[in-house]
Amino acid sequence: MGHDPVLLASLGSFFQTNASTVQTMLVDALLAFSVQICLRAGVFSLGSVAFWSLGGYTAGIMAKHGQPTVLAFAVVIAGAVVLGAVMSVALARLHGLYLAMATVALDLVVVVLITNATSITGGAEGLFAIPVRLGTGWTVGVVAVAAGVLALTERGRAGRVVRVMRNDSDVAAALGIRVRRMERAVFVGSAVLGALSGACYALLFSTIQPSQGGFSAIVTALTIVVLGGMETWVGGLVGAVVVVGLPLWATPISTWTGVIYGGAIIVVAMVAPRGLVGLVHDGVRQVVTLGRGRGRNRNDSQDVGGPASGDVTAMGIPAPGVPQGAP
Amino acid sequence: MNAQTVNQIIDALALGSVYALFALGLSLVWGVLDVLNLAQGALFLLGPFVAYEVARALPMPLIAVLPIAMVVTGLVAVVLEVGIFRYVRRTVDDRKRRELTMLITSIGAAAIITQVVANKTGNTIFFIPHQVFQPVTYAIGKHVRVSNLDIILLVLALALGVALGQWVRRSRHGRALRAVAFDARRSGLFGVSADRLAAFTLFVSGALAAAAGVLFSLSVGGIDSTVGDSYLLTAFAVVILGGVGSIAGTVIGAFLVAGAETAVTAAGIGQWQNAIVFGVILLVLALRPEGIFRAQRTQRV
Repeated sequence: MGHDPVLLASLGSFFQTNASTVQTMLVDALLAFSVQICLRAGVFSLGSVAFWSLGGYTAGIMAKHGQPTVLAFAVVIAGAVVLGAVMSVALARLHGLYLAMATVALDLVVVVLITNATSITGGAEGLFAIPVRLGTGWTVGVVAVAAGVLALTERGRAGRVVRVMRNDSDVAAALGIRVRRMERAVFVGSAVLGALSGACYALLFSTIQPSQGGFSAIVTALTIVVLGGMETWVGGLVGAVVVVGLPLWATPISTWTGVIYGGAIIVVAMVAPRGLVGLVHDGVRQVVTLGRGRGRNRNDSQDVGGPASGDVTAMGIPAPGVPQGAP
Repeated sequence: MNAQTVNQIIDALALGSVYALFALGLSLVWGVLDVLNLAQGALFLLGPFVAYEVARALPMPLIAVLPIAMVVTGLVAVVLEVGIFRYVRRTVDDRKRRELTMLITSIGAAAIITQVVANKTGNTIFFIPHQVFQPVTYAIGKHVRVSNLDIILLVLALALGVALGQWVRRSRHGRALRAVAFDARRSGLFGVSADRLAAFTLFVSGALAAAAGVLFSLSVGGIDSTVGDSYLLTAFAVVILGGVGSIAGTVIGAFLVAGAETAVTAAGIGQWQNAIVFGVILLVLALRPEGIFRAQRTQRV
């Protein structure tokens, strides 16, 4: 009664724009998690984008055929596990730049395959009118679970294992870590997260195009990860919020996103390799250290972020017989 | 051999020339500097864009436009090296981290270049003006056709490939280059300036990518800003097939990939050629990671 219809409509559209912004942030955060867990473990894989496309199309096509959402997600996850495992075996001998190249090639070829399989995927035009199956709440749930899993791999023993693998796989092997197996597990985990991100996207926004994968998606995902920081899941989330939010708050730059993102990637990768989260973390640590005037905090904080250069962390793995946390 | 097959072979040779010019830079930079320069596709796009802008401002023939495009693109590549890669090389000690940082920054550079070209060309196909170059097709016999562009491409690719190979193998600087590739730090002790060589390597790779881009753009009529991405995939296959850092291998690999693609198209399943290219990448990486033509050294695949 007495509500101004114009105001209501504008409020409604305001909410809608922001809802889709928040949803995009969540989807991109999932994709960033997928990239993060590989890079953090020293696996140079950029294959997440390929799984994003595959997951999105699988969920979208199933939803269009009236399959229940739970089944769609189950198929997406199972498919990502199987395909991720197969790919990880195929890529098993590759490391470093060779792996990066092969996985970028995988991303590019998935775009081609999807574009060409017109009868199933709708070709270059993409899939339209996918029934909307998810809301913001459910997506938050998926992201929260993923973040929880990531958090588990960042702390304690698992966190130290991951860090040693990144810093020196020979040392890791010498410490009894099954590096090959771990790398395969990381790749599969990354595949699942990437596919989940794609599935969420398709079921939130009711459309997906092949051009959303490929090189541009690699740029976006890397921008998020580099900007936010790849050490913790917080970095992925912060990066997604910034990267998705920035063009909205500053519309004039939206036609130059490539330049802005590209420039941001370069500058941050060069001067602040641990991203925004790393910067904040360092800042807080400095303040705390100054406040207390003791060096103790430096040891405390290693478990959270991990230092930028690796030598120290390799020692973070407890040698047999030495109690954890011993200096 | 019928006329159609001959025409297909000519097509494959022209295409292979483009691939060779494009992939040589990628292979050289990777082999010598340990940088997987994902901006190579953007440089391939930048070359024709510079040619397009130059030719619109001043009506000049190809013989003037091509060197300008090559030099400008080469200088942009030098900016990447001096402004970014050199800094990373100096500040990041850990090898894995250094390679990752360079890869990431090269992706950033690719995004910048691609966006600038896309915006300046209105996101559509752009054509290098006609006064720059008039394609002429010669008929040999009744059905066999060859264009002047095919000839230019093949001659240029082979000439530059041989020149580069000889330079790396025989010249003083080439020897220094191989020393840097083998061990950058120790070669410094022998008075080799790794910085200057790195800048020169990037210049060569940018200039070659520009030559490939300009001639490719002329042969297909026009290109748009997405062209770099798709050819990056092919260049990967060429580099992997030829062996990273091997110049002869890269040239031969380029013609092999082009031949395979032409054969696939001739068989009527052309839309799957990228999938086949990817299959080639995986297969070679799995079976013979050092490339079919073994480079002088193999390491960490």
